Amino acid sequence: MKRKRRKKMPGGVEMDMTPMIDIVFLLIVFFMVVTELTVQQARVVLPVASESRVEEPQPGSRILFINVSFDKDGKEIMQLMNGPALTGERLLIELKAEADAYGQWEDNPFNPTQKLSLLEVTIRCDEGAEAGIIHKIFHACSKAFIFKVRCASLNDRFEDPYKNQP
Amino acid sequence: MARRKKAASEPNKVDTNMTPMIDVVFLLLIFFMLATKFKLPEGTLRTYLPKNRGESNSRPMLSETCRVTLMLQGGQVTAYADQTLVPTSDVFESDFEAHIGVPGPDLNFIEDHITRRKNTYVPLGANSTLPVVIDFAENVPYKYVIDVLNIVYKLELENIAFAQPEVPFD
Repeated sequence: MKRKRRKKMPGGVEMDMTPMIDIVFLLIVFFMVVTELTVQQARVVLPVASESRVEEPQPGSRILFINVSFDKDGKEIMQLMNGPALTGERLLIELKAEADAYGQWEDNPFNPTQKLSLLEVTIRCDEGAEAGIIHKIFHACSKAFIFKVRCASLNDRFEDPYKNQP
Repeated sequence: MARRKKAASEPNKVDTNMTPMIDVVFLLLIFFMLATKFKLPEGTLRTYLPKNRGESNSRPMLSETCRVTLMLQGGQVTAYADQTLVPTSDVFESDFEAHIGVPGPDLNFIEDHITRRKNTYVPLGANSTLPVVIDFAENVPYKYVIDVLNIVYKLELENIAFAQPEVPFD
């Protein structure tokens, strides 16, 4: 990015523009990288919780995201990832199908005749949504024998996500 | 940012005008500076469901349980820590409260109450911590449930339960 021509100012003083252009390019690249222009998942304003943990998924594990956001009329809707809006009954059917498709089960220590799915569910619920919808999701997960449920939130306290890893 | 055109000093040398490029570069820089919104890292609070559902005999005694109740009354979230009414906060503690214009319950009061209960709790068995039940009405904003859950996690309590009504599927 060397520039040969230099602007001569009166009195013979030269102004070298190269460092400025270098820094400006650097800033552009930085802002381009950190700017989030596309919304990858359903638009959800998550609540903030300082105790939330950024957990790396275990190898072979599968995490299913249930998004709770609002439709055009301001009514809460549940979606699996970016799928269509689901009722509680439909969510249960979808969860059962996902648990069967994943096919990883463990024995229930409290009920030898029952298997529990190792499928993980993360609820991404908008902070303004009515909390009653969480009851429906917990209920559906419980009925589908999925017990690994987490609630997503933003962490307002900087924490190294890798600090507990070897 | 106009630049005076300067004739080439050498006859065969091409003079590159940098002005338009610098203009565009500055424009891009300003755009990305304004469009950038730094995002907080997304984490999770663990809310594993019980494996022994339906076995009521494993539940702790009611008197030993700390119960936080959340209700929505006239647009205002009212909280009870056990039977004690939690005062309303004097300030907006989040952007959400500032947006709706209604402050929520004083979270420090709830934290102090649970801390007191934790300190006076007599463990029923090894590795047992104070059981906390979060009981919320269906119309309470989800944020307040997470706020209470966050307090419980902050106090390193692991025995957490959500009061769950019978949910008829629609």
